[in-house]
Amino acid sequence: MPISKPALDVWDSCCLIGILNEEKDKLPALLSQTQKFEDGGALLGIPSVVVSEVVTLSDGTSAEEKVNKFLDNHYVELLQATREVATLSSRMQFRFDSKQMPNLKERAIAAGVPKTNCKLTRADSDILASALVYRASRLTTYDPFLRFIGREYITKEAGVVIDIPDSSWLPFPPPNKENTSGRKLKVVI
Amino acid sequence: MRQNIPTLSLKIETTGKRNRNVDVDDFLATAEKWLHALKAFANEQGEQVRWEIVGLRKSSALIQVQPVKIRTGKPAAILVKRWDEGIRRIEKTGRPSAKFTPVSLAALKEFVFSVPQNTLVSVGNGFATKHLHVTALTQRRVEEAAQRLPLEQPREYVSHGSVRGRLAVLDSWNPEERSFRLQLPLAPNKPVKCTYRNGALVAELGEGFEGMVEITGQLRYRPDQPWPNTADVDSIRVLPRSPEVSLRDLVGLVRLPEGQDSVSYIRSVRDAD
Repeated sequence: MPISKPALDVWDSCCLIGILNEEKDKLPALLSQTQKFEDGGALLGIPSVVVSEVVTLSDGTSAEEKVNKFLDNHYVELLQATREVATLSSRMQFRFDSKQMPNLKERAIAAGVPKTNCKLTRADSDILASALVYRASRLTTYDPFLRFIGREYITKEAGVVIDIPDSSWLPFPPPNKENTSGRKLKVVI
Repeated sequence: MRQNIPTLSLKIETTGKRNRNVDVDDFLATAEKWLHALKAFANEQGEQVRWEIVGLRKSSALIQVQPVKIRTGKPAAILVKRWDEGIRRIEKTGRPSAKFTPVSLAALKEFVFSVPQNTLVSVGNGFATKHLHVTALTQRRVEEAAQRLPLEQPREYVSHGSVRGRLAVLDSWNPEERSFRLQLPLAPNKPVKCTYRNGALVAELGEGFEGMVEITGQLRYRPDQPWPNTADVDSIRVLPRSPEVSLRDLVGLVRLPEGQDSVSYIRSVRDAD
């Protein structure tokens, strides 16, 4: 009889660093994911490049030991940069290059991505490729350009959702762009 | 329609005495395969082009297209020439033309074998008065050429690395061939067959039995599979059975410079690479 397998939720470096740096706008949603990992409902996928970026930041600090121990958790799935990942990553970089898609930057800016953040770097494409090769159901990131590419292309083609953590069920959703005007929200019952 | 631009055409006519109209499904299906073959050819030539319709005639079901370079917006005349010469050469000799790769040849084969029944399909370019009819001979010649230049099948590969899983079944204690199976959380129905030579690893196996371990060694992957199917194990690390440090324990352990959050920090690191 086939054995059921958990979902794979791949995290970008900004998620782990957001926790390490105690970022108030991200903490509730990120920490709310803990339960599903500890209960075995999902695995936390961490691509090699994310391990490298997080360990580089924590090395030599008091965080080093705890970060290493955290990575040993049974629900953490370290995603190797295999040949398949490297090949797909290169293809992603080629595909989402401004020479191949001359209007990509323009469209991203129109969708709210900052002008200086409209490039798919090698690390970005490695993370994206890891999520695709390892068939993740979700790539959790706060990066606006990755989320734009996800919305416009990847989710339609491969099904993987690329977005901030799903916290729709939290009692108070974290503040977002739509509510940065300073105006108070009127609650209608 | 301008006559001096490089174009490629596909024409479908019905056969038989009554000269009935071409079935639209037949036309669209064949045209799709033809366009796919053109795109594969352009891609394999490294040309970034889009395909524009420059002529479409209802009466004879003829479509005429031209490749246009995405960057410059100018027609890619050389692509038209290479394609037209290539298929005529293949039809004549049954040998792959120099400009056709295994991928573009496979796409061409798919097109020529998709000719609908009771129709006459022909391809040409905007200058050639003589169209090339896709016949049984064309199919045979393209097949011969494709056989000479087969698509390369992806092969198994070996990579040094680590993988985590549940140490489920110990297969053998034979000193010459010690092995066990590792059940991967994300592919539980495809356990990795692990072999090891170092007898000292038995201690780790005992400690980690039915728990999670991380093995390191030569991992053998099948093409298109993200997980290895076999492993030659150099070392085994037993992972803690219950979490020692959770996500909550990481809160506030690092301080980024003033004014930077995790997104802007990561962006600055990646942009500097």
